[in-house]
Amino acid sequence: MFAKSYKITEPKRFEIFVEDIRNENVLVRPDYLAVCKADIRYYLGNRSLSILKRKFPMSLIHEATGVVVRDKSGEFKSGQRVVLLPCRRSECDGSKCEVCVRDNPHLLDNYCPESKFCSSNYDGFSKELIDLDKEYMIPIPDEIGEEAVFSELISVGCCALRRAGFSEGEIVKSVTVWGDGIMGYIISLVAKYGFGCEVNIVGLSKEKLEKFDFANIYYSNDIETLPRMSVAIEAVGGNASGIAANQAIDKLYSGGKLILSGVANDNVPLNTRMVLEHGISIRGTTRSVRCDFEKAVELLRIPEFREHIKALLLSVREVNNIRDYYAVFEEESKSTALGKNIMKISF
Amino acid sequence: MNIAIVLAGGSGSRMGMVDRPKQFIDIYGKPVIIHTLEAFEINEKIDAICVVCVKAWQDDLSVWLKEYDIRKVRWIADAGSSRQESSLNALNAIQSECSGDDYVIIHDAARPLVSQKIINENIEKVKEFGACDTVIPAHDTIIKSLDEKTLDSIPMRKELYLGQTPQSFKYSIVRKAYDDYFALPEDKRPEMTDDCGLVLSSGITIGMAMGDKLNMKITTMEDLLLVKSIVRAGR
Repeated sequence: MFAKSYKITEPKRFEIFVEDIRNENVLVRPDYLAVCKADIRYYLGNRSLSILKRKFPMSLIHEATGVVVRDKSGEFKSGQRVVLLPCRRSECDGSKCEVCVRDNPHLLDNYCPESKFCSSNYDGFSKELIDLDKEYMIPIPDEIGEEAVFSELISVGCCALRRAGFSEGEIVKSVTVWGDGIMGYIISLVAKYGFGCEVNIVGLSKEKLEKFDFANIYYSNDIETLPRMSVAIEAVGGNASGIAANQAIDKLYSGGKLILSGVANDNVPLNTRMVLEHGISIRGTTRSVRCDFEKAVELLRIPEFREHIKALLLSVREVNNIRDYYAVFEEESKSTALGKNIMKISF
Repeated sequence: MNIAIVLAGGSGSRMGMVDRPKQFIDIYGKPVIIHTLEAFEINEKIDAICVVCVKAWQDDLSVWLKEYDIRKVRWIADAGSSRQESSLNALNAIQSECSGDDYVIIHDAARPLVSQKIINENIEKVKEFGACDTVIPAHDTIIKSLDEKTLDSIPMRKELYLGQTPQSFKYSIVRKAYDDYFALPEDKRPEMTDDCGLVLSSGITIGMAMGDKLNMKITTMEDLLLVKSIVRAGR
């Protein structure tokens, strides 16, 4: 069947495409979409032209929910709301790399160089219809509303804590998170409601930090009173990620862990002397896999957690055509607010 | 109940083809009519489909319905000698299984790019008005000529729309309009190009659902080229 999709063909240029969809798996109609900073980078052209040329045309958006239209296997009922997963299974047989990460429970497909990720090296969810394998969707329980569109971000938070070594059922005393943006907010929430942690948040914006009413607040220009910690998570990104990481290195106990989750465009200088002296472990984290999404949906069932996630939902924009779609990208690319204007699409 | 009526009774004479009507032409491995039926098949608000099809192609159609797993087609009605007759045949075919309060969504088989949004808006509007036409604003200036040689008038563009399908109706409304129309002697029946014209002439208010330029009708070889090009660009 024919279905429309919106694709970016060059920076600031979206075009309409008509795709011939074959219903071989589960046919889904994406309904709610959220724009990620990575989408904004493509929209604004903040990547090298050679990279962009390789990727375009491409449908953006990897944060999405949808409604099942038809599942030939009968497992999903028509009308079932689902979270859409952007990480695609690697088809690699394990022979391409010296060390295959796919069976490593801490890394999985997410770190396989052969894996695909929607809106990065594979089409995203800006589509009227999409045919997906059932492993790329998770049913949304009834009590969860349109805030389910934040599941991908929550799953990234779950992945960050998984990378920090937190395991299911484990009670971790405390965690310190650098970054008063949406990722810092979500990682802090996952730590609080998923692992029962006391959360210390370090940020810069008074307005944003006031929303972290479940955490102890510290300003990044005054961390004298910030207690030392065993686990620090950097969720700042950009050029300031180095400042945050070095503050964390200064405050970590010997043997502590630093998890880096923010994307920096340039190389970041780190205080390696302190890393050596204190035997600090540094781990990177990015994206997420299915088990993180399952945890995310589970967390969204907790009313207090859900209420805090709803605070990120700045508005729901009806997107009926490509002009509406442009408008949301323009607005999101200029927004500094803690939260997102999400799209309810009907192409 | 919402019943889609897909009209596939045309001959394709304007395309010059002799072997098959336009709605049975293959577009990248699938007949046009199947692409069209799939749009209604997957729409959760459509309960059943009636296809009006020329007799000579009904066997092929049945095979395709099976091959492409189209499950909602409950009736295959014979095509008439005019569009009105074809629509009437469909209304007759579904009559025993629907009530006056059900809705029919009548669509050309040769418009395979109909979107879910258009179908949904038709259903919304027909429930509001009892009758609904799919339209797009006229962006080109429309010229009226009575002698096909010289301009007669240039109507105000902002008041003009181009009609597409689906055209949707409460069953009782469209039924009455057709019964009244066919009750007239043949030479007294006004010339009508579509179902909305017929319903409008019976004094019914018709709502408008916004169509889409892509929801084009394959009438000529140029239209087919356009549709194939659009689909090829998305591959």
